[in-house]
Amino acid sequence: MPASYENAFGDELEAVYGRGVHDLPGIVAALNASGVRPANGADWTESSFTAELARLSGTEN
Amino acid sequence: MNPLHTTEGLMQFGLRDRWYPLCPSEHVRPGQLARLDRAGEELLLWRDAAGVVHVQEDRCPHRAARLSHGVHMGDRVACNYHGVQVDAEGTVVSVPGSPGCALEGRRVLRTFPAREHGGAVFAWFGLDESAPPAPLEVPGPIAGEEWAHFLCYVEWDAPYRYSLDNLLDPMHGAFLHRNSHTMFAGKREAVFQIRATDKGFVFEKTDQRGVNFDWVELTEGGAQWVTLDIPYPDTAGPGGPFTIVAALSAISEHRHAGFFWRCRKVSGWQRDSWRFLYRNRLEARHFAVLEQDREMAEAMPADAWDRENLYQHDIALVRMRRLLRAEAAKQAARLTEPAAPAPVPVA
Ligand code: FES
Ligand SMILES: [Fe+2]
Repeated sequence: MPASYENAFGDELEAVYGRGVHDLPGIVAALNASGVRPANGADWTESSFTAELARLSGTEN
Repeated sequence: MNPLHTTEGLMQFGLRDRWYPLCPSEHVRPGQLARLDRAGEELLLWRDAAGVVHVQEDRCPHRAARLSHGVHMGDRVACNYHGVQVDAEGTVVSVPGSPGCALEGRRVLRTFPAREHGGAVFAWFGLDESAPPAPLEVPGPIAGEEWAHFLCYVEWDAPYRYSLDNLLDPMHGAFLHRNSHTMFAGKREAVFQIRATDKGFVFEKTDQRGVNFDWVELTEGGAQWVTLDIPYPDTAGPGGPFTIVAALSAISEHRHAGFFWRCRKVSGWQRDSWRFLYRNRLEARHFAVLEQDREMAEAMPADAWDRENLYQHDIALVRMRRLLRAEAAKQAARLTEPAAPAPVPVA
């Protein structure tokens, strides 16, 4: 996955969090209203969103 | 005189009877011999075939050649000068040039108890080397499962005690780091208090908490830990504040190693989110803040402690220095006290 995707996803996430939206349904709705989509272009769901975070979080410490 | 036997030397290189972090675990690679100077000692670090890390003096028991220039033999190290082999306990297991000589079987290489925790190698520097080490007790944020953490390791060209000063000086957050992503808010005046704890003290603002770098805790027991919180802005997502667990070790009088565990109490998808943002961008921002501290510390004069004019914000420094100096003086006295006279044989 190119770093540019991760950067864009991080930008979106920070923007959503920065508006004080910290709950799962709220975040998913806000992400669907913005531009960044999962790789398959579908809407985010809570499970696709948390799976994406797990993938991006890297090796566990 | 051995500087480690003086109060001043112990202040510069660190007290004995302490665990000190030496380096990140990955710096000691399998099959290699690593040399590090820490806490006033010249150290050899290596892993045996099972991956267990060993810390010993980098000094061949034969004629003091550097064992780190020797050969890793799995469960032992061979000196390259005359081939003497020493095991992980410090026992000479072979003297190839003179088989059967009296050196064989003797435990003569100084060996420091070693552990790994939180991605770092620690060693115990005992006042009495024959006494067992205290248990390695680590602060909550790097002890358990509810926390996520990343270790940030740095080496700075400054005495280690300047970093200790810096950590026990929360007020610099509102000035030195005023333009950072985490320490832009809050008052620039404060009244502090000190609260004693079991093994140290908490230094805190009486009139502000959770806004800036508002409190710090020093734990001085079998190791020296500094723990502090810095609130995160909303952009960091859900979870607790940014918590730093710090430990330091001297490399020389003028240089030290800093270990900053960047921690957050966070679980589930929120943990994944923080870990992603941390790797993707937060580490870079936190590191830029730490660089401001480094620039300040490295530029400090060598005699900073000799001419200061301290005020109320500095009472934690005063307390910490008094604590360390008292303990250093006690240790120096124990290290230099004349050996007890041999008992007079009873006729
Ligand atoms: S100095 Fe190491 S074997 Fe002689
Ligand atoms: Fe700082």
